[in-house]
This record gives sequence, structure tokens and C-alpha cells, in this order.
Amino acid sequence: MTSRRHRPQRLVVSAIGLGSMISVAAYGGGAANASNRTNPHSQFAGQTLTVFDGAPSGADAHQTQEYYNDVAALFHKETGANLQWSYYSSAAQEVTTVETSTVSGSGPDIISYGTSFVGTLQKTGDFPLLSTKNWNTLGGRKSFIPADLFDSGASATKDIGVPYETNPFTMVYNTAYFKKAGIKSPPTTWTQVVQDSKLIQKKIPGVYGAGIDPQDPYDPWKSVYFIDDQLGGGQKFKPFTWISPNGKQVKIDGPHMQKAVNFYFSLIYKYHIVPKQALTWNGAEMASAFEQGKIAMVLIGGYGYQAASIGTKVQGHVGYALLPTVPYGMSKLPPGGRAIETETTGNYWAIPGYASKERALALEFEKLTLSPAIQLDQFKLLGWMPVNEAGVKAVEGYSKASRPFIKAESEALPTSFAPVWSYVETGMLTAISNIASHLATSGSWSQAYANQQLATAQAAAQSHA
Amino acid sequence: MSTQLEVSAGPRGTAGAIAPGGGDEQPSRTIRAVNWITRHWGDRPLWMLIPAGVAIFVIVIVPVCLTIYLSLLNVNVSTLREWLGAPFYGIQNYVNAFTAPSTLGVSLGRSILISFMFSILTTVIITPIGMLAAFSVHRRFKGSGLARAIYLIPYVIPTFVTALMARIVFMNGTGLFDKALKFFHITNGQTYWLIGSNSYWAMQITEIWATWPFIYLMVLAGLQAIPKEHYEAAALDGATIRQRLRHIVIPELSGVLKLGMLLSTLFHFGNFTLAFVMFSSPPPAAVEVLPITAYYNAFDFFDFGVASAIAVVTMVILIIPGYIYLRSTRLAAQAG
Repeated sequence: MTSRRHRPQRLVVSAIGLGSMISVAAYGGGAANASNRTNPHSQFAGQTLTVFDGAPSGADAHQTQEYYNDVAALFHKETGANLQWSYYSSAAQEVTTVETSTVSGSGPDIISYGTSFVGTLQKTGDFPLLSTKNWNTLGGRKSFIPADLFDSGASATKDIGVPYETNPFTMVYNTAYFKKAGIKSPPTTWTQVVQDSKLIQKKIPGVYGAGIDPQDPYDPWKSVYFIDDQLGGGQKFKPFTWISPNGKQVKIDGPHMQKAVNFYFSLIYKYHIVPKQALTWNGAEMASAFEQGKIAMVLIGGYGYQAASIGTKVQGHVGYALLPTVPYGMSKLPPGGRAIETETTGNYWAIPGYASKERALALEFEKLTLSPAIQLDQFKLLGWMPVNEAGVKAVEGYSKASRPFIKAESEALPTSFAPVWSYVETGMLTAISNIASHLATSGSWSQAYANQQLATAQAAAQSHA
Repeated sequence: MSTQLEVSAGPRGTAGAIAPGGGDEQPSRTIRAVNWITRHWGDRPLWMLIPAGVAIFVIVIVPVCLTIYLSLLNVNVSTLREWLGAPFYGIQNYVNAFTAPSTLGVSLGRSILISFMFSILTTVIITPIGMLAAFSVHRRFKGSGLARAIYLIPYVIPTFVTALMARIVFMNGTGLFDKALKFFHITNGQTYWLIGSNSYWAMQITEIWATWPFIYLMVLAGLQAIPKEHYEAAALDGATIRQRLRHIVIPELSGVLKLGMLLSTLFHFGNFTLAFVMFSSPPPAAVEVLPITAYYNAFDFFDFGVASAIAVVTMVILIIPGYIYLRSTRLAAQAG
């Protein structure tokens, strides 16, 4: 009875066993063959790597998604491993995820971070330093544009991040409006910005010369940062501008800064080349005004405007220029002024300590994104500039127009890694937002109010330095 | 040998002392524990509350205690990973929260005042609106179901969607609100609702629009619970509508209305999303409610100690009205 009951089971087990052997043999052979064809790193086959990066959103969401898909497909082809993207939709979400991941010891295997965030990541103590061997896997540290390595770590021997794209700031302008106004080339001084704007407004009624976005969560401090530095405000804390190299001193309310803030808002209240409506704008609203043809120039823009212009009134009429470097009313830089065209910008990959088991695969991923093919792909799709020699060669070969921006990025200056940076940045955003609100509601400019706002930001930031 | 449990009369006449059958054997530890519980808790099966107690301990007590403990430590981005070993700071975080210069341009004291005004004013305004809405659809009529559903629309829209809609409605010059004000010659259409001091009123109006259905729901539920016999008796006695309202409806609604107002105040006090999504980042000083201040300290400045101190201050502030409410309902119950 027992033997009869077990016989069919034995048969089934035998059949399953045989089938499994055949399947495994067939699959293994197939995998081995596939591996031979496409996968030089068969030790990674079947693994999954999770990469944490910004969610595709805004005008170039489609292009961002395409970039992510391209990278994932190539990664699978090259390594046999799978790539899982996870996204953050705001800086706050990024910070929260990084904090919870480092505290809990689990989370994404690679984190994408922006410049000025490196100090925060390093302070968490959960991002192991990159060794020479690691850098060699990525083509060697020397193969990168030196300026892009500023935000890889707090110093050259304390790298935790690898740059993979940069976004040098550019002035974006409507080429059709410039042509209509008879302007042959974009402005190179702030005086020319005002003059060209007035000319455009005269020739094309209803269009304003430029746009600013004082209510944006990121842009406003950058706008005055450049002007302040060009006026000579950065000479005290070289190579930084607002914070001393040791992170103990802050200066954001000096005479250069007061002058910079005044000029920023004088575009509205004095020169009338920016619509008063712009006092409530954020970056998206300013971009929308440009795309609708309401403004001729965006003073602090990026190469991404090209992708965003598709399907809008300005498609085919988007031009780029480097930021003017000579302050208003001057023919050359004043003593101490720096011809700063952009700060170090862009994004970096960092591998957390808790992902040490996946570190080799993560480095393979980073290596892939630094390949000329992907560096060119990200330029074509999103206007991101390359970070290494091979990438520069590929992008410059594809587009000569990219050269000035690559050059600007190579001469970019860093902000600061000091923990007090977050207080400086938020303090400046608050001050500029309040000054804009005061100008909007009172209808007149008050330098005293502006100075008081800067002094408040200074006192608050210095107390945390 | 099977062990049978015998239930014998416990002290004070309670049935509960459980002893194993056989009489001579010593009761096991479990049995002794059950006997102890039975002696002390009587015949009420209070032990059945233990799972709920554990859940409350884990979900409420532990996080609250951790927050209080965090508020006494110097927890920042460097010490976050090993936060239990962060330097003890005592009340310094509380001192810093109230006295250090604010990067957001608003002191903690002012932030508390803004939150108070926002929550209380919202509750004061939405209460009569919600009551009137509930009265209007309490009785069944043709289309009352549709009206009840329509009333709920603002409440079911997620707060972040409401905030995004409000941002468009309150846009300067081109927003619906400014256009309407200009159309009726009330303003010149340049009111700047999203920046400066007007931003407070933009937030207040939006919150009122979005949350009045909460009071409506509470009151409607209260109205449905009033027995029909009360109205019939009042009708027989010849009571007027005002008398019915005063002597039946208002007293019957009193409890639910108090609870609704309390919950409403607590909810508005802790509203973070509206101020965060509707305005720029950081938001204007006029809308720096307490949760926004705590958020920036934690996730922008990475000062988790100060953020926890603000959270504890918020908790203490919110406990006060809750305590008053519970106290008043207990006194009312005792008086009853």
C-alpha cells in the first residue's frame, strides 16, 4: 500500500528533476552564450542595482526618462545586471531618504547628489572615500575636468562622489527677438543687458527684455552671488565667496552685496526691463514667460531650455550666451572683481557604506555613465555638459556651440562645503523673497529695508557658523 | 493524565481563582499569573486590552518619548547615525529655538502666534458654515443626496492639490481672485496674494474653503442621531422652530460640536502641506506656521535637536485644548 501510494510521487519527482536538469542546462547554456555575447562581467548577472536620482518632471520629463531608459538598457547589456531607478521629486525628499537610509543602513545603492550637498553627505559618515583603485576603474581622477571635482569631497583626498554631468549657468535669449531688434550678438556686460532689453521693448511692444525669479527655491541666491563676486565681494574668502575656507565666518551683508541686490531689483524698479509681475515668479513661471514669448532673456538659465522649448512659441529660437561678467555702468571688472560666469554645478554619484556589497557593481554603473556614448547621450537629450576628457571630445565633436559652456564650467568656482552653507542659502532666499515682497506691495524701492534683510540673514547664518 | 481547570470563587466574591484539577499539585506560573490578574481585575476581561495597550505603547508612547529625548541631545547631520550617543544638550535646544536669530526671519514665538491665529480663526469661521450646510441637507428632499456629495468636494481633494489650485487662483493679476476683485472694482487687480503679508489671508481663505465640510460632516452626523420622538414631542407641545433649535438641537449637538471644534483646531494647527506647497520655499514670513519652522530646522539646517524641541513645544500646546475638552466632558458626564 505504501509503495503504491509513493510510486506516482516518485515518478513526478523524477520527472520534475529531469525537467529541471534539462531546463537548468538549457538556461545555463543560453545564459553562458548570452554572457559571452554581451556581458563581460558575468559575475554581476542577475543582480539588481538601485540608483536614486531626480524624478523625470517638468518640460524635459520625457527626455529625462529616455536618458534613464538608455542607461538602464546599456547597463544590462554591459553587466548582465538590472538597473532599478528610484526617484526623488524634491530636495527635501532627497535629504529625507539619505537620512533614513544612512540611519537604518539600507536604501538605494547609489545616490545622485547636487553640488554643495557633498558636505552634508560627508558629515553623515556613511560614504566611504574613493580609493585610487576606484578612480582608476573610472578612468583615473586626472581624466576629469578639475573644476568638476571640487564637489567630489571636502578635499582632494576625501572624495566620496563622482561627477557625471554639469549644468553651467547660461543666459538664454530669444534669437528671433534679437534679430528683429537688430541686435547681432548677445550681451557680454550688464550694461548691454539693460541697453539690449530697452531696444527690444521699443521694437517689439508688449515684450519685456528679461525675466528674474525671486520666489524660486534655488535661483535667487545664485543671481546675486555672481553679481556680488563680479563687484569684488568674493575677494575676502577666496576661493569661496560668502563663507571663509574654514567655515567659521560668513559675509552676506557687505557693500558689494547691497549693491548686487540693488542692481538685481533695479531691473524692475529702475530700468523697467523686467515685468513687475516677476516679483512673484519662481523658475517654472519665468520659463513659462520665456516660452510664451513674453520675455526676451532669462538671465540665469541653463542648456535645458532647448529641450523645454519644443512645441512652444520659441522652438528654434533659443540662443545661449555666457553670463555677463562686467558690472553695470563699468567697462571692465572693478578691483577684486572676478569674471565669474558660473559656479560649479551638476550632479554626482555617491555610494553609501551600507551598499558595500554592491560597490563593485556600482562602480561599473558609474563607469558606464562616464562613457563617451552616455556623456553624448545626456548632452543630446538634456543639454548636460560632459565631465571628463572623453566626454568633452564626444560632445565638442557633436556640437561646436557647446565649447564656451564647457570652458565656463572648467573655470567655475565652488560655493562652500561648510555646514553653515544651508543657513546662508536659506537666509539669502528668505531675504530676497522678502525684499521682492516689499517692493511689490509698497511699490517703491527701499535700500534700508534691503540692507536690514541682508543683515538679518547675516546674523542668523553667522550664529550657526 | 489530563489537567482540568476548576474555577473557584475568588476574593470579594469574584469567580476567578483557577486551580488545576487534582488539588494537591502546585499551580504553574501561568496559572498563578492568571489567578493574580483575576484577583486584581475582578471578572472584567481587562487582559484583552493588552494588545491595544502594546500597540499604543509602540505607536504613541515610544515615538513621543524618543522625540522628547531627541530634544535634549545635540543631534545634527554628523551625529544622526549614532544619535543615541549624541552629546547631551539639556534645555539648550529649547533656548536656541526661542532665542537664536532665525534664518527664516520669524521667531519661534511669532510662529506659534501665527499657528494659533490660523487654527482658531479657521475653526471659528468654518463652524457656522458647516452647521448651516448640515442644516440645509439634514431633511431629505429631491437632490439632497447630490447636495451632500457636492458639499464634500473641497474636503476630499488632497491638500497638496488644493494648495496647487490655490496658487493658481491667487496669482497676482492673472489669478481668478485678483480678476474678480478688479471686476468688482474692489482692488486694482495687483494684490500680491502669494507674497508679503497678504499671503496669510490667501492661506486662511484656502484653508476655510477646504475644511468647512469637516464641521458639516460632524454636525450632520449629530443631527441624524437626534431621536425623531424629540421633534414630535416638541411639535405636540407647540414649540416654535427657534425653541426646537434652542432646546433640542443645540443641546443634542453640543458634544459633537465641541469635539468637532477641538479636532478642527488641532488639525489646522498642524497643517504643514498648505503653507509648504502653496508658496515659495521658504514661504513668506506671514505663513511661517510651527510645522514649517520645525521642518526647516530638521531637513534644511539638519538641526534635529532644535526641530525636536519645536515638536515638543507643539505637542504641549496641542495637549492643552485636548485636556480641557476631556476634562469638560468628564465633568459633564459626572454632572449628568
